[in-house]
Amino acid sequence: MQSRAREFPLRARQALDDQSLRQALAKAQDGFVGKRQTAIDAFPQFEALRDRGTAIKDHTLAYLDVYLEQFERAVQDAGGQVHWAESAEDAQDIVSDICRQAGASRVTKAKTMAGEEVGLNEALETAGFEAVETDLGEYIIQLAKEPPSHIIAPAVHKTRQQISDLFNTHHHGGRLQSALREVPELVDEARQRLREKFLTADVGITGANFLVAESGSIALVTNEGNADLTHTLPRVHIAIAGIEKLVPTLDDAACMLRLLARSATGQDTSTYTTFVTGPKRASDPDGPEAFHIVLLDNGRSRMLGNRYREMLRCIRCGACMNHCPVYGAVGGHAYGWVYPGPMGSVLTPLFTGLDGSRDLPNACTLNGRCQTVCPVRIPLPELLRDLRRQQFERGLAARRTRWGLAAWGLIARRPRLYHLLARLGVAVLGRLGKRKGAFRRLPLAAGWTASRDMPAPQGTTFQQLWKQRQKDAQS
Amino acid sequence: MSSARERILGKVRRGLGVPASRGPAAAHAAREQAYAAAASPRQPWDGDSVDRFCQRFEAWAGTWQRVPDASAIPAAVQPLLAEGDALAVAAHPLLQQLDWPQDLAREHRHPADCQLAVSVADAAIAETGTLVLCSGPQSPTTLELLPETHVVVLRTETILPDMEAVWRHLQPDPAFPARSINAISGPSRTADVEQTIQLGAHGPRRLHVLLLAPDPAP
Ligand code: SF4
Repeated sequence: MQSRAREFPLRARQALDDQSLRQALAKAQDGFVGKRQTAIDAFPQFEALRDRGTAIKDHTLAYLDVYLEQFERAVQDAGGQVHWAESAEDAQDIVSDICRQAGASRVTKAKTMAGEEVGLNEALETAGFEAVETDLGEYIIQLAKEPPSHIIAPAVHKTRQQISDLFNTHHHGGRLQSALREVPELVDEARQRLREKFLTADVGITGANFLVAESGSIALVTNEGNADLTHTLPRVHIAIAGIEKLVPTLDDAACMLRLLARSATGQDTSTYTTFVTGPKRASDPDGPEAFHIVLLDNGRSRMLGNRYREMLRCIRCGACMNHCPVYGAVGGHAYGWVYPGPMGSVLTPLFTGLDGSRDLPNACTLNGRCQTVCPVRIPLPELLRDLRRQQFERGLAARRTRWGLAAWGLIARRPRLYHLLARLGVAVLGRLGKRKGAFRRLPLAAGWTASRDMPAPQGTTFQQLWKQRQKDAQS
Repeated sequence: MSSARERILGKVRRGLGVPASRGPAAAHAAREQAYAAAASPRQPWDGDSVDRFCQRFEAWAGTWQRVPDASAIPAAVQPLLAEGDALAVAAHPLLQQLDWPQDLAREHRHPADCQLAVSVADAAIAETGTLVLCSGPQSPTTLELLPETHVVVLRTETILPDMEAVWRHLQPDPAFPARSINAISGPSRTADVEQTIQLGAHGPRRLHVLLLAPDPAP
């Protein structure tokens, strides 16, 4: 998918003006945060679980070549086929070719972030296939022709009314007499529509939450069961996953699943957790005749050699965005690509280039909550700071930022000058703002004062206060 | 000609700064050293596995009842069938020998045209209240997904503490791993409309367990 991260400031501003979006986001964030906390409070050894999850991913990444080969062998032993995709285009071509060879016309899809990353839906449609998303959230945004705004809850920004309108337009040509209002009605409507698609699809495409090296299995988690209908009913099953999705053993997958469910939705397990290994066996009454797995690199191997390797531990749980004040204010679409929130602000520049997404690493208050909740202890704020440093070094930071920082550096390195200017500033601003106690507008700080008042300084500078205190303490 | 496979593996090795000669043995040893010597932390609970399973399973909106022996299964299923419902019974030896209320010819219908299906679980997980069913001739996956109601016979001795124990239990089977190992915790659900949980998203709306105690020793 094409990145529109360049438009972050514009889209963020639009999002801030959208009342229904802000309400939906606030409600969703509260829900996710509260449920996660309850689940973790009930799990006394959660910190030890995080340590273990981190160790599992670190170990797997350190031996990724070995585990990739082991996984490949195991898939082949089970009768499946392994495809390697270096880029998004490779992945598109591989999947389209398989569909073509299968003589497919209709393709069902279960939510896959790797699929979103490579723009699979567009590619399939261009190649002449009907691609139907089956996760209810994904289905809704597919009707709305929008990208997902959250990696776990793709339609989190849509209200019931909006969904009802979409169904009316797309299912009934806008002719529905009494609109669908209640949640059960809406879910039922989607169930009936999608049931028919499931039963008539030729190819089913899923992602994979984990790839298990020892058995060649892929682990899939859903609450709806749509991934299982997608991989069981059609003639061909294609799974697509990043190469970092590996874990060594089924036991390791069990541990990671404990972390994933709690961090993502506050459940202790998802409703459906499925391990798929190869195609239908000779004696099986159901299942696909062919199983394909597409292993996607698309920039991941590059991250192994530097400090961004830590980002490859990510299990796509969404906890970091659920706890991010910036995401909570602007929502997922502002980020302009498939991965929003803190993890997206790291991944988008790494996958699509730093120039096109220069605002993302800066759209962060560095409050650190994301790192505190990340199940695999990814130091997201540090990685974001590192990206800012890179931007600065490569001259990608905005001119005003560069000049501002240079000026500040000049002064900060000269303590005497710094103190003098601070004293001067405090005195002048203090005098000017005395009457009202705050400034509505300040030159050079319009960005800051646009949405809040700047309190006028009272008294002296910190340095002066400190000196005074020490003097008082001595006497 | 170097293939995409070779190129990706090459990039991975260059990134890691390792030679191509490392094998599974080295990875295995490193894994033991890193974390595998100890077991994963899991959710603690009081009481026995069967009670824990039932309590968690209820929390997922699943229902259950005990049946005294296998012959009582059809009578337990009967009240769940509405007038005109078609029944699909998995070709499992435990179920095939029973006296079903309708003739088993109905089993030949496509599961999509049946309102109720009966299967036998291969295991269950007490930690999370999860049924485990392995696809195969005795347990078609479609039966777990398409009918509105799914009834699962669960032998209490196959309720194990956690997923790791389930792997130990299933691994000796030469067919392991089955094409699809399905771990199911309650009826299908979604929270995609305004974060409101709604049952019956795509799969069954109702999931009912018949708990079967082991046969008394002869
Ligand atoms: S960065 Fe951490 S918290 Fe964010 S999605 Fe990935 S694993 Fe979850």
